[in-house]
Amino acid sequence: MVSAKPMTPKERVLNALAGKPVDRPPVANPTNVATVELMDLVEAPFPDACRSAELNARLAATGYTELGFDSIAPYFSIIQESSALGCDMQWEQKDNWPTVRMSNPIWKSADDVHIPANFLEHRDTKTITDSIRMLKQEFGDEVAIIGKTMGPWTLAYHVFGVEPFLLGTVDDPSETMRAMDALKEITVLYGQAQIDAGADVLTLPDHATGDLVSGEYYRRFLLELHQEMVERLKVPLILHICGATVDRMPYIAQTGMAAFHFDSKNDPQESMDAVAGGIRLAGNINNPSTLYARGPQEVRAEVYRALEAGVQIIAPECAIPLKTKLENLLEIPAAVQDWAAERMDL
Amino acid sequence: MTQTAQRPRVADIVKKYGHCLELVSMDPHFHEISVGLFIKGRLMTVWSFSTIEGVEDRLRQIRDHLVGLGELETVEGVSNQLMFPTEYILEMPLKFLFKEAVEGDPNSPLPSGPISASDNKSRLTFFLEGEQQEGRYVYTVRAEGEANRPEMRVRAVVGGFMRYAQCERVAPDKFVFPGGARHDGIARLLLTYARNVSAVDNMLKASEMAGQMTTQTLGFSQT
Repeated sequence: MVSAKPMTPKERVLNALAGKPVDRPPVANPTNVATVELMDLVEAPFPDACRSAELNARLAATGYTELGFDSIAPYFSIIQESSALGCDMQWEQKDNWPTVRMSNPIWKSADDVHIPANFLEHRDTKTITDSIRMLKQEFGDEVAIIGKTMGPWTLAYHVFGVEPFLLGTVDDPSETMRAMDALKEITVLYGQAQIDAGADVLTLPDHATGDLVSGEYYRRFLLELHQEMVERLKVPLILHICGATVDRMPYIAQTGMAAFHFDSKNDPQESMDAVAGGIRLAGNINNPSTLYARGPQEVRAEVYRALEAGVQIIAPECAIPLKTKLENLLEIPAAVQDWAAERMDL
Repeated sequence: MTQTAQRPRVADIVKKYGHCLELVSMDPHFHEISVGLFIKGRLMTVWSFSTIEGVEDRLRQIRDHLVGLGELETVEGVSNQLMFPTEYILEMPLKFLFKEAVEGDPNSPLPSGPISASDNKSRLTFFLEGEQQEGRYVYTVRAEGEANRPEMRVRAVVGGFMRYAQCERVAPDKFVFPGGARHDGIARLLLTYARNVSAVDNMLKASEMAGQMTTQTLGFSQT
């Protein structure tokens, strides 16, 4: 659906997520578009930019002010909640992602799951909520601000360790469900805190990835939980799962979430067919091969391919490599604008 | 949050300086800033978005190091620009040169004398010599020292030049650069890469994975 009225970036994103008319497809970043060059530009390097609200907001804003994306996403990584829960962290350096040392898990069973009293006041959770407040104040009516709250499956990897958690899904599925039920409260608590701070949209990464679990696993362990998230978090939600996910897309389409942020391992047309209009898609420009290693011409070709398939929101498939060349990121909105000028009948 | 200081716009820089051929994410010799080598035609620019005091001097130092290592041409009157000497741009070697110019010891003297490197798979030492032949500058790889079938190692080194600089093999031990030009500085640096292609390829792959967020790097994968 096409809107003849020129829109603000925020209107464009929110309309696309609601399935309403847009003047052109939005370019969003449900995960992250920070790079080492942008860090230098605004003097906000990793890992400090993940741990200081001021630096975080400054770096996040460049996705809009410098790259021309229609959204700003200040939660760059996937570890802020896990740090506040007490996980063993590896903060890395400017050109690498902070991670959780999952080989050193903090909990063993669902009974161990608890939310620390100061969870929302912890430096690493508060960085994001404070950053969202700053961004809202500066860009609130203009650009969509996308927060992020990690789903229970991803949190489970961090707090239990990947292997123990996945083995548990086989050995004792009811224990897994108890753990999911306990962990989902963290997802809701942190998501709501970001909504209260001013987030217009939330990304909900929940890494039931194609590499590790089947589509049937998704239906069995996560579908209802994700439906519950939609009921409890009253902003548009974007589910993010890496990897090959076509086999679970029909289930994902039943969650009621506004969009699914999908990986380049999935063909855009096949993915559109799999969701069959049940959910909108955001993605899926390839990171390691295209955005990192190739040039603007290849980026443009992928943007066009996604748009021709009907993908509603154009975005890199996941958090971009920190050494991505800026010319490739600038090409994404440029290609969308050109496609819209060529193909959209206003 | 709004920064009041004047800063360059990303889109303007890309438009002005062209394609970013190589990006070093952390300069070990200057505040861990990122530094890029941009290229537009034959004109190259050493650029950083950092505005830390002293950055211009550091970019000049990198430019001068790059010019010295690769026997490239300085652009007079500008502190951060240089030219590739021939129309045929050797992109991959330029990437290696740039990385060395940024990460190498800025105080170490430029290499000189015969072009040589010891083999890291045998006790051989390779030497590279060249001469003009029928309008092209032909390089010959020669090996000295004890080894079984040294001709195979020489052949492999020529293969390395083909892989990393699109050189043409003109004999089992001889090659020419694309366009046939003489590039002694590039040949000197490339010899250290050409002698061990598999190790260099592994190093390049590891370097590419740094800073990537994938199911593998996150630990959410079986591979």
